[in-house]
This record gives sequence, structure tokens and C-alpha cells, in this order.
Amino acid sequence: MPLANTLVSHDSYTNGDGSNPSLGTTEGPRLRVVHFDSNLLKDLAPPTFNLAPEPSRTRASQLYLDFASWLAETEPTSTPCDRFVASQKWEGTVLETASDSFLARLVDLTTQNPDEEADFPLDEVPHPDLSLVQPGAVFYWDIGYLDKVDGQRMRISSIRFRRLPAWTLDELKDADKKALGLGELFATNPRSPAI
Amino acid sequence: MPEIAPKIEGHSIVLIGSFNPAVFQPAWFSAENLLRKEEAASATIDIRSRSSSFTLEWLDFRCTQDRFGAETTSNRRFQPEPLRDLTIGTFRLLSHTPLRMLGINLYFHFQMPSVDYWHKIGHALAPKEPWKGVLDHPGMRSVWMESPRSDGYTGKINVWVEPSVQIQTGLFVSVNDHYEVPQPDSKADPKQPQGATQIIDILEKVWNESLARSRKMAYSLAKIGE
Amino acid sequence: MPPTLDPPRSDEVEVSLFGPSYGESVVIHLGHNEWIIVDSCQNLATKKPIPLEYLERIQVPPTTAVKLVLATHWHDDHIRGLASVFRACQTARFACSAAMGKEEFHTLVAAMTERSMMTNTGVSEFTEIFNILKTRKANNSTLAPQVAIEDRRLWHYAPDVNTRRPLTELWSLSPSDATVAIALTNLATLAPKVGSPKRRIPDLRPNHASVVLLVSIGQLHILLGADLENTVDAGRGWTAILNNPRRPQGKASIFKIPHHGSKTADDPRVWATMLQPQPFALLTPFVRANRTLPTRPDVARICAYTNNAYSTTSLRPPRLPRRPKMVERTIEEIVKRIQPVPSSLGQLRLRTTLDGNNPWSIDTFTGACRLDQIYRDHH
Repeated sequence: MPLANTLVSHDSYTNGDGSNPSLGTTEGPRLRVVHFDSNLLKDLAPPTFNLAPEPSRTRASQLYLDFASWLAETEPTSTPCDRFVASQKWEGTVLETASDSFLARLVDLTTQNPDEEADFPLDEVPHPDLSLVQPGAVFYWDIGYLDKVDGQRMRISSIRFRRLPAWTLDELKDADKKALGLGELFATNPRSPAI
Repeated sequence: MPEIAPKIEGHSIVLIGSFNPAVFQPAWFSAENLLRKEEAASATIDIRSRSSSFTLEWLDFRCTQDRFGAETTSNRRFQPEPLRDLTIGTFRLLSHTPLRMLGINLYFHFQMPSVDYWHKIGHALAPKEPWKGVLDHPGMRSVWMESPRSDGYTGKINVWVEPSVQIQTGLFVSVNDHYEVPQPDSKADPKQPQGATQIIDILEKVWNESLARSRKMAYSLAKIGE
Repeated sequence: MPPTLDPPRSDEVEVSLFGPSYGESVVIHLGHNEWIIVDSCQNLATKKPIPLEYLERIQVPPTTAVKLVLATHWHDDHIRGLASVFRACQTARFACSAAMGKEEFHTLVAAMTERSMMTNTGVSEFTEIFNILKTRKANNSTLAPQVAIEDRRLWHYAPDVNTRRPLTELWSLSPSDATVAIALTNLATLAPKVGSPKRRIPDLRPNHASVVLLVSIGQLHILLGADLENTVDAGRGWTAILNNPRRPQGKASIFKIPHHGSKTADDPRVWATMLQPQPFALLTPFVRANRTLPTRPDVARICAYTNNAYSTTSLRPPRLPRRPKMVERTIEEIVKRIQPVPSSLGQLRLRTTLDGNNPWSIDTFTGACRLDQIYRDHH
């Protein structure tokens, strides 16, 4: 079983030994977006835990520990890319729309804070999502820092509308069938019940 | 003691079943309103005879004939909810796809506060006493634990703990929340659901709970060194 | 001395209105340890339905004591927790607006449930209520739901000289047939169509399908206005009720003001012909990022009708949760307005004796106040 966080080439979707990922497993993809220079590891074992029994360490084990420490200190080589981490996330539902804004109910996905309602200018919605801004539409709102590859840090507010496939005939037929069942629950009963 | 927090986090959804990878191109997803046209047009694509993969700002997607995998990571643009929506949307549309298994995966690279703390975890998970006389200097490279589910679903939970290869003095924890559905009889009407509906029902229902549980597991393992 | 939370006596009538500024619920003791619950809202701190929390606090068992659970309409702010309420009230009958008994609404509920990824509170509460009804029907443990429409007596107790129980009736005064037809047309516009995008169901306003309830206990009458608004069409809204010669003629001494006191739900003829002089007028506020009800002019108008106007909560300036400074800065820059959904909860409780010989006494709990004080914390 290869190490779960073993780095392999971005292109090869195989286990470290060249075999295909074992069928019947649903672990996350073994490859990572990080390219790692395997030459660095040619003669070295990956970092290991706990090279010596606690609490004291022999000189030999201390050497190994240092070895591994050196490895641990080596920065992995990676393809640089912009990195965004949201400090705050909400899921929103559009309640009302106006000509240049929309009102939304927000559920805090980051903490247990109570729901909020906010009035957003339509300018904040990315152009490809504008057609989705309708009452009942769901969106995600993230606020955080974008750390760019050139070292620049930018403060970001990002709105993304949820995209789902349109209603299909099968789904609606299914709903009609269920609706019939619900209708059977209601019987005309003009006389009020009495004790 | 500083708070233990992940420096890198990733979520992925993996489905095992039977797929036609050529279908899963960005253009298809955007035609079905599952991706923006613009991001589909700017995707980095690699389509081969038996696999298809593409990368967006927030998504790494790979599909072979038997495995559909989509991942989002805080190393780039972290969007777990759109990841879920994309998967659910795809297989609500392709509801006749044969699907057998679902994996909701979380991984973390935690920054350990010190080398000693880091070693303490390794020592707790893989005590060295039994290795005396077997190896001169045993060190833990990986621990993999598996447990059957206790929530009524068929499947298991797998957890890996390893030293991180992405951050210095880091701990890698990966949780695979694995679900299986029974397969229809091979003689059954191919128009009948082949597992996709059941699998996606599970995904929709358990998503929040699965993430919360996996996160709790990972954090508790990362705090062993306290 | 502050009022105590104790159960009413068997020979007492009690009317309690609860409101957390987003939602409302009315819990009524009809006498003889029998209760009805109209609508539901949720305690945002405990996430429990407020009617059940209240009954638990005064040690009234909902399983047997509650006889009717009524949903006046399906909007989010009137129905949170109603399924849990109905589940707990195991011997209660369920009643709802006529529009909710129709195929158009059922199709909406059926479509918006599983696998749509677009459920919202109102619809999901009804889904659960329907499931409870199905289970109880299968066990032969419930009657079919009652459908509320104008001129329908939903419940009654015959007078009983032995127990000194007066005639007790629950009448729905709305919606009218014409209103139901319009409500169904509106619901049909929300129904999903092949190829249309998936969205959550928004609350439709004005709310044509809302149930106005008249509770009559002997000589005591209580008018619950739900969310009914007025329109120019004589066949709808309050005008339809006022023009209906068949409606019960008892004049109410308690009026649950409709639609949070808004001008659109006001009709002076209601005050003149359906209410006693100086009735107790109760309302729950409605707070949204872009508007608040009642407005100050609404307050002035209502206080001119009666000296006995009350609100379940006062309106305090919103306090946003503390977040990292970067987040707070960004929120300020991005949105025009943001405010938390208010979580303060208040209760107005009125009691009198079943024989109607005593005036109502009113107690205010938690954030409840006189209506003329509702803006006291605003400057």
C-alpha cells in the first residue's frame, strides 16, 4: 500500500510502483498538484516519526533524527500557484431582487452565528452568474486573502452561484406521482370535528 | 500551546462505477449548467482514450473508465460546496450510470508546534517497544486504520496518519468515508437505476455530517501530542 | 412582581402570542386543559419550536392536551418547527389553508424535496407534516387534515352545563374561493417546468392564502389576522371578509394584528365592525435588512385605534456578530446593509375566566412591550 500522501508525477495516475490504483477503494486521488523532485528522495527515506524511544536518544539515533530533520527542513518543490483561503463563508438564498441589488438570507458556514440578511449590489455578482440571480437562487459568499505567486496579497470577496442541472421530465413525473399520494391525505370533511 | 490548525486542507469525492471518460469534459459540464462557460473555456484539459482530466482554479478532475474523482484544495482555491454540487448535479443528470461506491475524502496537513510534539504522535500511534530486536531504529512512516460503519450504511472508514511531505514538521491525516450500495442483478432491466441514484442520495444526505465527523477525527489525532 | 410561567386553570382561557422578530406562533387554552396551536416559530438559541418549549415549561403534555395544529400559510416565518409540533401533538388534528390542500401545492412540495438540493424551511416542514399524516393514517390514528376556507367551522365543542363549558368554535374566515384560485395560480408560477433552473421556493407576497381565524369561547372572541393583506379586489383580503354576510358576527376583544402591523393589511372597518372598543391588539414585528414592520407611522395608526396595543418584542438596533477585522471591513465595503435575523424572543399572555365575566389580564415576558415603546431603543 503506497503512502497516502506520496507525491507522484502529476501525469501518472498510478500508484508509486506503477500499478493502477486498486479497484474497490475510494480514497482521494493519490497524485497531488505538487510536483516533487524524486531525486531528492533517491537515497533517503521519507521523514519518519519517532526514530528513537522516548525520552533519551542514542548518538546513532540522534544522527538519524538529524537526518530526518534535515529532510523535514527541505522545502518541497512545488508548482507555484495562487492560493485563496476563505476566512468567512456563507451560503445565501436570494429573497428579493431589485434593478441594481438583491436581498439575501445568509447562513454562516464558518461559525454557529445566527442567520443574517444582507442587501447586495448586483455589481458584486460575477458576470457569468448574473442570469442566475432570481428569488430562490442559492449562492456561496467567501471572504479571505488571495496570496498570489508573485507574493502579492489581495483581499477578496467572492460570490459564486450554485449550479444544478435544469429540471428533467423524469423528475417532474416523479413529483406528480408523489403529489397524487399527498392529495389522498386530504378528504373533504365539511363537518367540523367535535368532542 | 498554540492552536493546532491545518496549513493545507483538501476535499475530494471519488466514485467507483462505470464511466465513459470522454463525456466529462469542461464543455459538457458547462453545457449542462454545472460550470460557468468561461471557466470551462479556460480549463487545462488532458483527454485520452481511457481517461479524462482537467484543472480549474478550484477543481482537479480526473475520470477513468472505473473511477470518477474530483478534488479541491486550499493550496489553490478551496470550494468544497461547488465540488459537492458538481458531483450531485452530474449524476442526477446521468442517473443511469452504474455506481458502486462513494468516497468522501478529507485530508489535512497540520503544522506541529515542535519536533518533539511531532514525534510524540508517532510514538503514540506506533509504539517502538515491540520493534526492539526487530529493527535498529524503527520509525513510523504510515499508520492506516480501518473501521466498519456504525450508521446503518454499508461501507467503512479509513484513516491514514503519516508525516507530511508538504510541510516541515507536519502531520498528514487523511480520512476516507467510504460507502457502498448493492449492485442490481446482471439480468435486471438496464433502464432501472444502476446505483447512481442511491449513491448520490447518500452523498446529498451525509455530506455535512461526513465532513464534520472526518474533521473531528483528524483534529483529535493531531492533538495526540498534547 | 414579575408574572410567573404557570399553567392556566381549567376554567381559564389563555391566549399567548410568541414572536422572535422573525416568525410568530399563537397558543390558546380553550379551557378544560385543551389547547390549540396556530403556526410555529423557532427559538434560535435552542433550535426548538417555541410552542413546545412553552407547553413543556408549564408542564402541559402536548401529546394529549393539544387538539388542533393549524398552519395559516406556508411562509418560512410562520412555520418553522411546525412539523415537530405536530409530531409531538399525537392526538391533534392538522388544519391548513385550502390552498395547501390542493394539487398545485402538493406538486411543489413533492418536487422540492429529496434530490432537488433546493429545499427550504417552509416546504420541508410541510414534507415532514405530510409524512406524519401518512404514518398516522396508515396506523388509523388520525383524521384527515382539515382544510380552512371562508365560512368553515374547523372545530367546535358543544356547550356542557355540567362542566360549565360554553359553546366553543373555531371559524376560518379566509381564504375566499376567489383568493384560493389566485393563490393556486401564483403557486403554479413557482412550479418547476422541464428545462427551468432549480431554485428554492421564495415566499410569495401578498399572501392570498392566509387563514384568518375567529376563536369563539362563549362570549369571548379572539380574531387572529395571520398575514392577510388588503387588495382593491372586493372578493379578496379583508374586504372579502367584511363583505361576507355569513361570517360569525361576534366582536373580538383580542386582535392579532395581521402582517406585522403593515398599512397594506389595515382596514379601519375591521376595527369598527369586527372588534370591541379598545381591544387588546397584539403583533409580532418583522425585521429584514431592507425593511422593518411595523413602521413608526404604523405604530401611530394602531395606537390611535386602541390604548391596548402590544408587541412581542421591541425593535433594537441590530448587533452583528464579531468577526475578524478583515472580514468586518470587507462586509462593510461590499453590502449596502446587513443585519442578523433577530433572535430576541417575547411572549404576550392574556387570561380571563371561561364565563367571560372578567376582563382580560395581560402579562408581558422577556422582550414584549407596549406597542408605543417598540422603538424605544432606536434613536
